Amino acid sequence: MQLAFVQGTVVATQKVKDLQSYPLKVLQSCDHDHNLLGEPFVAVDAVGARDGDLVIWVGKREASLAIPGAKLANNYPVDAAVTGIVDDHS
Amino acid sequence: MIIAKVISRVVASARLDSIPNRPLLCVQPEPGFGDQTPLVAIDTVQAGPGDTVLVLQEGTGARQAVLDDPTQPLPAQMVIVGIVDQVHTIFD
Repeated sequence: MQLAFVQGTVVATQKVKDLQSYPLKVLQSCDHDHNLLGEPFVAVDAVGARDGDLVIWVGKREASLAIPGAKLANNYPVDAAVTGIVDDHS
Repeated sequence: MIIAKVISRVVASARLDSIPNRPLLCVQPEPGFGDQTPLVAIDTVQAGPGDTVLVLQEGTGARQAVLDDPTQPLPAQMVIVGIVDQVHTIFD
């Protein structure tokens, strides 16, 4: 997982059925001092983060397991997903 | 696996149920071990800030190391699987 800031929300009413039930958030990774890294990307959010939150997220195959109800053999068309909202990190 | 230094503890009370209730540590890969992007790893060896640790970076292994039942889904790859005491290399 990595740290990222939630920069916005993507509204896409017309989308793959499997993505219907969770919001899409625009994230950008950051380092320990909250300097932004890399490029923004869109992640599925099943945790309930709000714009501006510092979150942790997961990418690659494991992101498809980050939707409640996902199974190893039956998961979701997702390559990036919020896994938690950071309260603090010291 | 890579060697990294633990920078801080990450507290994330609101998180996916599929992430077990274990400590989350922010780690910085040591120079030469991947790009220097800090990672957030699930701790299984009670490491703390300042420790040098061994970080596994693969989903199947992560399930083996973290879950009682590795057939359950785990949306994570980064797991701390060891605390490094020393590294001897031929270059020392």
